[in-house]
Amino acid sequence: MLAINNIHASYGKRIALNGVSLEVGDAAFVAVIGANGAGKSTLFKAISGAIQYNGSIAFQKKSIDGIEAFRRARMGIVHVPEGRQVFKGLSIEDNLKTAVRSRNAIANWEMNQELIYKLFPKLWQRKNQFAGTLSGGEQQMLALGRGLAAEGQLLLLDEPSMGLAPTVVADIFDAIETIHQTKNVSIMLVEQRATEALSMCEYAYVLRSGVVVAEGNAIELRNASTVREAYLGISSEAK
Amino acid sequence: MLNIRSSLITNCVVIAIIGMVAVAQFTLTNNYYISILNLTLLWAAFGVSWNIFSGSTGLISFGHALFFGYGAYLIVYLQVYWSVPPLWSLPFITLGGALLGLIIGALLIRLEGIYFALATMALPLIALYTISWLGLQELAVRRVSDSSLRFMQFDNPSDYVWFSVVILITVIYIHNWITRSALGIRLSSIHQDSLAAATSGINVKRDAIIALTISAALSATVGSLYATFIRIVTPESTFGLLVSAQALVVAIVGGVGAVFGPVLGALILIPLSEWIEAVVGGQLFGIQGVLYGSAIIIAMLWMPQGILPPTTGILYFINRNSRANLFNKLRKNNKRYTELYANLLRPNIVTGSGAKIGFSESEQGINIIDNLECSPEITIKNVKQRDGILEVNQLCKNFGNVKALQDISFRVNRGEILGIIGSNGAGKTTLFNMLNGIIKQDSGNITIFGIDTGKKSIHAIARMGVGRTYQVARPFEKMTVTENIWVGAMSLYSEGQVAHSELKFRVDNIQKLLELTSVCHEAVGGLPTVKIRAVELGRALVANPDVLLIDEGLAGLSAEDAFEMVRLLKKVAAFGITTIIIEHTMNALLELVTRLIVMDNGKIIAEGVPREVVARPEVIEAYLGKGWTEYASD
Amino acid sequence: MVYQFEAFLQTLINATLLGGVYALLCVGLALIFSVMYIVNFAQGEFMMLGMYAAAFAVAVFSGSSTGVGVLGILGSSALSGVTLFIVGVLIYSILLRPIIATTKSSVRVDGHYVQLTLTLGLSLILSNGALILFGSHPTIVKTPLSNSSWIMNLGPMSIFVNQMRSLTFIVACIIGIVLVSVMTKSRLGRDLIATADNAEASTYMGINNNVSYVIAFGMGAAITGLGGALIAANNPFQPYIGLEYVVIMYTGVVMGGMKSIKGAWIGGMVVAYVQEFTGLLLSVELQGASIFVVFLLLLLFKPNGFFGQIVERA
Repeated sequence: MLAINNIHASYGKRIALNGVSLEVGDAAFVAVIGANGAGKSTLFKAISGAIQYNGSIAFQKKSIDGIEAFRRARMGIVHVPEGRQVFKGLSIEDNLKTAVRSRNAIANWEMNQELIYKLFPKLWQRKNQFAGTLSGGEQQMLALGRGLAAEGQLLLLDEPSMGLAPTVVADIFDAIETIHQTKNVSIMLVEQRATEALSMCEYAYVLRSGVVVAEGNAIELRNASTVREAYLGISSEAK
Repeated sequence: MLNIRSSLITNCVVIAIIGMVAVAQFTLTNNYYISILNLTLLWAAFGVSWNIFSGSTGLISFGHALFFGYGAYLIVYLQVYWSVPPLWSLPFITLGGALLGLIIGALLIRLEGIYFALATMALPLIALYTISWLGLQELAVRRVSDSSLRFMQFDNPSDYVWFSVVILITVIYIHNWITRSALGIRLSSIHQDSLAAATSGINVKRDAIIALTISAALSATVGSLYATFIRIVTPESTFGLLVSAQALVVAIVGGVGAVFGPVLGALILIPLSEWIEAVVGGQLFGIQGVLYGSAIIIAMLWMPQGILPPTTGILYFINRNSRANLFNKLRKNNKRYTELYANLLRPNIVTGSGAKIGFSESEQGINIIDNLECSPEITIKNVKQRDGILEVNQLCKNFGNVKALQDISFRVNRGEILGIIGSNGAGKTTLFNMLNGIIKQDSGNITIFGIDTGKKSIHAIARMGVGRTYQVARPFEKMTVTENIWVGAMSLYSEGQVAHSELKFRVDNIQKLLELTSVCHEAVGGLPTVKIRAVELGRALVANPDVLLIDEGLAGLSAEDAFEMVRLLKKVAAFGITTIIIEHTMNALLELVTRLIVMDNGKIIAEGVPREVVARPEVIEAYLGKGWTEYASD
Repeated sequence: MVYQFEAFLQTLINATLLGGVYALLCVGLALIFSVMYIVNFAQGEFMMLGMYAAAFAVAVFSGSSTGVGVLGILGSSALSGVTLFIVGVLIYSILLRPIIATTKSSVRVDGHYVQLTLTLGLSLILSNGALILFGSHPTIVKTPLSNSSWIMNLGPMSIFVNQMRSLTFIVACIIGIVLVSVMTKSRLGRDLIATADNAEASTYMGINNNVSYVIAFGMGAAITGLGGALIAANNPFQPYIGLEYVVIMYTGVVMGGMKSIKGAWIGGMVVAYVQEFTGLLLSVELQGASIFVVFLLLLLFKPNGFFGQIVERA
């Protein structure tokens, strides 16, 4: 589904990605974990086209370098950004509708709507309310719903748990699991919370200072002290 | 060398202008051409006056017609109704113009970007309506029979030109002088980054108001001269938008911030527009406006800075021979001076005696730097708990629904290097911004040296001794390394606390310390990241802060660069400057800090010795997610 | 006493009818700012062009010497709207698109100056260009409606309700309602609001922001132009009239909170009230100055307006 080859990206002089390569298979669930500043969000922005990068990215075996961001979205790369970023001036329903653009999305709109409201009953209750009035957790649900409604092939979920209370986080992650099981879509999850991420995904990459320092099956990484080192910067010997 | 050269250039250009005018005077016989010459000079002078404010500060004024029109109307009014000869009223009008600029500045300078521009646009239009309402639609000055100087009316139109030349030369020299003064350097740093300037201790509002006062006074004078030349004033021709636009356009085309910019712009545009007006103005009434509009658009799309580059006098300022020896002697006997520095002497950890960076009178200062160069291994001994110099008490801050900070309390002791870590959204930057005064807390207080900083402005807090570097580096990109560091000292210099020669010494030493001497004359914008961070550090250090706040100084650096940065920071720390550094990556930090605080979701969740804190389960879980310690098997 | 009350009522009616069209003018400006953060100095010139477009349409399509009737007014206004839409699209594509990157990406103030100065240049070109093309003598769209009024008799008082202004008011309200429907119920409106709200997120949804910008600018120009066409029957105009109205528009928009279209509508009505009542209570010459003074006070004390959200986010 997605093949990233040796990409470099920086914000001015700040190097954010320093040669990252990874792959995502069809209908796979891949996690990218790492501490802040590791470059996870930058990675997503490179994939969705929001920033410039050097290197190559191929989507469904075709190169997408140089294709504008909004076109990538229409091709099926759906980026659910960090910090929710819902459209505050639109109602919940309208927010969802902004995602419905492609033929598939329109065709499956009824079905997706049902799924979204089943996953997130709170959204159904408030479906005509302005998104700006929702709580953080509800906004995250809405953002996920938007991602669903777009009926893409690759779903990029950027730190869905950030800034949310623990119970809400649990709901969100449950929903993500359900999406993975119900829909035939590849999911890439960027998370700081390694525990939850590794317990949901099949394969994971560990990012640190713009480089991939470890990758493997979720189970392998669970045992690796590399993960802790990547986050905290100290090896277990230092204890 | 440079200062001599640049003075020479200025003087040469001025002489060239005078020369050209003189030649024109003697060769041109047609009154029409002479009047074009006169207008060119006047509009050039108006442009330079505008530039003194807008070019220097970057706050674009769309309403300088207010000052121009004030000068124009008042000089005519006084002559017509009170029979005051223009030459006598001129100086008073200038002073009045300064006062007007002061008032307007005090009122408007606090407005942000667009609002400021819109407000400046509205002001002359208010004047326009008021003048019409007062019934002064058209004021004309009668021809006086004897062409005496005090009425500023001359039979020979070229005599007007001499007046205009004098005002133009005066305005040029004033602008030039400003760019080389401390005021000019402060204005230039405000232009490039007003927030960084404020945290360096510069009183942004006050300096902008001073610039506006000068600019207004000069604009009023130009307006008065214009009125005595044209001898008739109407609201539109003196307060109208086109008048403000003309000041703008000659500066924009010729070079915003360049002393000679408006002169060049006027030279290009005025004769051109008058010529076009003469040729087709009869049929195409309004062609001048089209020309100016087109010039603005062309400039904005392709050359927003104008033809000439901005004039900077900072090198001149730095390299001038200070008459500081006299100052130094005065300072030595100045009680306040010695008291200040007695308070700030800090124990030097390496040698155990008091010293300060770059303190010219202290032999030890120089020795310490040399020692450091030779011995890269610097061990930082434990600093005993002394007087806390910075205390934070129960700080809370909400942004809408988000609780950014919840009951944050901690103390920083003199000489400590405190590290604050936490993931994104933990509240670290919010905390820092509060320590600087950039944002204010909802509740709780911050005290530095026992003084509450609650009500203080950013620059006032900076002057209390708080220095800062930024997460996204905010160096003054167009200035060189040395110039950047000098800016950090401007507030001290302007207050007279530190003499020029000593500052020079200090800057040199800091450059040596931070290993910047090799690149000190390069523009910061082009340097590698580590050097840029070092420059920011230098800028914060030169003011001799008591507390240094370093905001993610290691972020975005490669492993080697981060190591470099840590090495530099250790050198700085060796001087015993209290440092608070926030980071989200722990690696490099652990070698540097004496104490570590961990934040998560706006709260402090751990505090203590770095290696021990980092091994605590709650800290690990804050980063990796709840349950990691059970989940991971290792 | 009765006389004063009558004058008060008369002013109230006048102000309300005028408010509708002022609201339209403001809404055009607010639409542009809310979607693309462009502070358009030349908006007054869009109004002026709308006026001339209406006059032109009337001159071409109507031979009548007494002027046009309701249909003529409606037709010429519609034509103005369409013309200004095209003009807006062209101006955006040629002049503003190159600099839009600077205004959106830079948080700092420089970006605003570039577009303010650029649109100032545009304003100069348009107003003086019109001066060249159309001359400086005042023009007006002739219609018998502007001189006819219905008379409401309330006891001893007679209130004149000007027919042209009433038509203006009705049309303005209809357009307002149409605009709100488009913005809230159509896909286009949704996409525009999405771009306005969060340009990055809207990109992720597959929205082409540039299309949003072009359409918003065109619509903003068209709405203001249409407002101008409606005024053109009641007020004589000349090429510099834009400058008189641009402060009215900015006052209304700032009052409503710069990004709010509904706020701009209300702001426009408030400005009309201020203007008319100043004329009643002070003098007619001060009417112009009063709006400027209100504008200045707003900027100094309430730059975020009364109805909108905060513009500069932390």
